[in-house]
Amino acid sequence: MQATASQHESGPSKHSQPRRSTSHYRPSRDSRKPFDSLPVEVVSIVFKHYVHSVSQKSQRPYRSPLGLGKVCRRWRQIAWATPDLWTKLRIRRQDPVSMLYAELADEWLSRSRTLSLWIGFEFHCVRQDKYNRSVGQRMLEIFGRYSDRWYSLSLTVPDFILVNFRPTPSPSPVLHTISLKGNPNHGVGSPYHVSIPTFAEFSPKIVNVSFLQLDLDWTFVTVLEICRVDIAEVSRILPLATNLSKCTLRKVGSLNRALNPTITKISCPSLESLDIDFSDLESQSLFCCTGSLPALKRLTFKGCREQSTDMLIALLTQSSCTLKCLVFFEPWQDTFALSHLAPLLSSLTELNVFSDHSSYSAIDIYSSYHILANQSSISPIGLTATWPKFLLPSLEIFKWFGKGHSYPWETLPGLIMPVSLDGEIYRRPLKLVQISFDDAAAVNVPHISKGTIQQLSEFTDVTFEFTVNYYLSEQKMDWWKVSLEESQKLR
Amino acid sequence: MVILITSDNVKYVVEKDVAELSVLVKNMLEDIGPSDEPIPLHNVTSTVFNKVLEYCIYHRNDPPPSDDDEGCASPLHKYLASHICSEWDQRFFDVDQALLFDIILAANYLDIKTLLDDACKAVAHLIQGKSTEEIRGIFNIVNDFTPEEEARVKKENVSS
Repeated sequence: MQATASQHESGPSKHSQPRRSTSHYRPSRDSRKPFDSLPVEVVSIVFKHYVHSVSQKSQRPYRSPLGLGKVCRRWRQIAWATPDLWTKLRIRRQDPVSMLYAELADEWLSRSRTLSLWIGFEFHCVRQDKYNRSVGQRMLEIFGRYSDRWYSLSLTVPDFILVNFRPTPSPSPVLHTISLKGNPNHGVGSPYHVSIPTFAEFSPKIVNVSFLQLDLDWTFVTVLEICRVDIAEVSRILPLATNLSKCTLRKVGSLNRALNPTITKISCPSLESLDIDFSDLESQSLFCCTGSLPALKRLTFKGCREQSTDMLIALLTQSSCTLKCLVFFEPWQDTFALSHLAPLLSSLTELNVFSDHSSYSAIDIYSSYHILANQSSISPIGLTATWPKFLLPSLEIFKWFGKGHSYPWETLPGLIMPVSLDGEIYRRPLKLVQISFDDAAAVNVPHISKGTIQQLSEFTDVTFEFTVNYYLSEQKMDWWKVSLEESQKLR
Repeated sequence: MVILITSDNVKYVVEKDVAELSVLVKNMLEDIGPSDEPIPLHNVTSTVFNKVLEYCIYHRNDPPPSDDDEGCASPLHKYLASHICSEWDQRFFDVDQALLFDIILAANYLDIKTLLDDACKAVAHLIQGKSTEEIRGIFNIVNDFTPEEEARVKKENVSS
């Protein structure tokens, strides 16, 4: 028999369905054909997909190749000889770990041959537990031997173990990520001063450090996150990280005060995004008064109690940056915080305000919002002289998250079309206004007046999202809708 | 047009760009030069080749697979690169296990990397989330470990 098939006549197009003629397929052998018919190199490909692909049911992007080695000898031999299956080793805190497992981890990593490695190890023990301490140290010894092939190393171990970590001084040329967390709950001494000096030759791109002082080649770091960091350490690292673009600094403190007089300037010319909070006033003052971040475009600033607005103003003034996005935690005692900042934010397109005044309901916290709506109506002494004619002229997105008090709804039309100092009305290019706040119950939340709703309805090119979360009843309310219904009831 | 003949002597007239998705056919065409001579596909039956051809025609305009940089790509990137599997592909591979294996063997013989990869992925999906016993059942595999080997297997519980 000879047949001729032409794709022009029978071939599928991109819009066609696959043909389901397969139910009639009659293979020459048993329909449960042994998997053994597949050659070794093909089985390896199947195994790689098994380990590295996600399934429909589970989004877990990685599976242990050990499961493959349990099926039969052939599967075990092929799996053990496929280096790509052994490039990622992740041991979680809840996994049992012993000396035997340390040796198995060594075998695991050695099977990866020359490929780059992803190692994740979470481990905890108390200082007095000699056996587990030695297990943890043995694990680190093994990981350290493979330092020439690290792509990503993530360790969360007690600092008293980590401090003795001595990786082979042959840094991997493909090193991408280093994450070292000192797990201080089980350590002793100052969380800032557990120093890990043995990484000085390593040049990662992404670094995440907690409760440690780390020596690295900071030159190629582009993303950095440090938790519990001393201000002196910040001043040392940032100028060295000449390619740093995104930085998160949590709980910046001033523990080693002897070093503070040496801090004269904290600069990072390439830094575009900074998320920072402080654990004391001294570190806040040192950072903001000596900081210079000229490339800064996105800033999340959680100040430390009083003076935080002045400190932020000092930082922005010194940096002369073109800030596009600010996430600002409104200090409860500074009712004019935003209006003080606004003159420095002429390029700002997105403003996110966190306003927690749950303990201070008596304080008038609305002043800034009234000024942003109408500069001519309230002119605090000392502010007008330095104010530009238009405040926040580039603002496109305004998000406000409150707790314990409501937003002054009546200022919203003015937020979109404010009045300048000399009485001129202008239009901010707002596209999204999102107001949400948490409250215990509905009784504390005033409704949006009918007049305000009518005024806002005229801004058809602006999206308004007003949400009230009653955390006691776990209810989420669309406050625009609720207010509309309320005004209809009153009629 | 290229003429291909399967092992059961069925003749196919296939457009050159479709036929050349097979590296084997492409190399043969380069070797023999311009010719109307049919190219024999010794290891592929017409039943299997119908499926292979269906896949090749559907994917004829896909961009060529990029070289997999084993040393640098993260598992996540590898996964993303390998997991782009359309609904059409899922339905295409929803076939009898024996036919799926034959498609794999044909793709391997014809050297069609994307088909081989996608078909292997379909097999991998069959064993995801399955126990050792279930996997043995799916593929009719006999447990051939010695008791000593079994004991060793049991010790390997380092989580990943």
